[in-house]
Amino acid sequence: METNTQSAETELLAFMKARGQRLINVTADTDLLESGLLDSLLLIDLILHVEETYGVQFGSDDVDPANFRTVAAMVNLLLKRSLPPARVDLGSA
Amino acid sequence: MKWPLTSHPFPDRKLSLYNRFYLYASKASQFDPTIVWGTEIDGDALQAFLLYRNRQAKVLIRPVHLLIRATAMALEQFPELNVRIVGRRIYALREVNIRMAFYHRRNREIDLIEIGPEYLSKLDRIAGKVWDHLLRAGRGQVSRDRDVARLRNLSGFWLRIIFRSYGFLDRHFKLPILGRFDGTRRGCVTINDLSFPGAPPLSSYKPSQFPSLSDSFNLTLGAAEKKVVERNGQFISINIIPLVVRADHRVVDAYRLGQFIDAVRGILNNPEQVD
Repeated sequence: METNTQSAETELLAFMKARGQRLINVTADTDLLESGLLDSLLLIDLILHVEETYGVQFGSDDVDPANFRTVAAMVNLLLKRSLPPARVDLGSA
Repeated sequence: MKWPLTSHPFPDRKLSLYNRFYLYASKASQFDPTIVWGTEIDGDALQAFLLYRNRQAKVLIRPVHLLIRATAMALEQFPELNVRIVGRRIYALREVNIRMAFYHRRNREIDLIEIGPEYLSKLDRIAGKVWDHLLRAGRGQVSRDRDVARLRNLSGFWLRIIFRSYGFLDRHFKLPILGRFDGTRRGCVTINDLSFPGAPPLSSYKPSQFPSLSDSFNLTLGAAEKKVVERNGQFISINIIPLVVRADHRVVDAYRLGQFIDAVRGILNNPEQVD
């Protein structure tokens, strides 16, 4: 499945906002760690959702704070995983 | 096959009189050996440490990972508490293992993960082990899940027979660890994290004790909440995190338990000690 930055960001934000009022104001650049919005249940749900939706798989090594600090960082990780580097469409953001 | 307990029990002369009082009480007396002790942790110090660590760490650290590390450190400090009861005897466990309850996304129920001594010495290793298990459980890749699924398929009658028979043997004999399902009997402590979004503030919580008696201690973490305190003549608002400990009076008394909890609390209030 081909992934681009904007569609992945939109999709992930919609997934998060559907999980409750406290996440309704999250943007792609909201720091989820500093704001305390990223709990363990949400993180696992996000990873499993991304795996199922985009056909990628993450390991525990990927649960790096830098990869999950913002939705934009998650999308970067997803793009790195979902396509070979040469084919990643980073220009559509 | 592994034998989690030492060969010989603690001799009676080394146990306090009140521990023996509960240990040898008649079942007909309907005694209650449960001690519950609730306390608070400095949430601001813990949060500041986590923010600092998570700017540098390669694996995301959560408060429950810190609690696991702090508990392991406190058990090393109080090895006489790393024990379990078999029959009316107290046996030391050969190594420190800690159970953590977690929400199994795929099965939609609470399950347990056992964190062994090879992980407990480093915060990053604890976090890595927990994340790895949670992810594999979410994907249905944990081998223990197959055993749970087999148990689910049994009729109520056979489930009752199996649980009762195994429970009887485990309560009265020093059983080895045979496979995946009984691996969680290696430790004497269970950690609960009840700080999930939507959970009400925690002021008291007494988790049930496993029938296997391998659960001498249970430490439950609640969500951070604001509290107004007086410091230097000023009323200020601080974040506190509730920590509730349930202990078995047959293996510990309130004096020793207080020291153990104070050790855990001291580490969590000064979390830079964990490294």
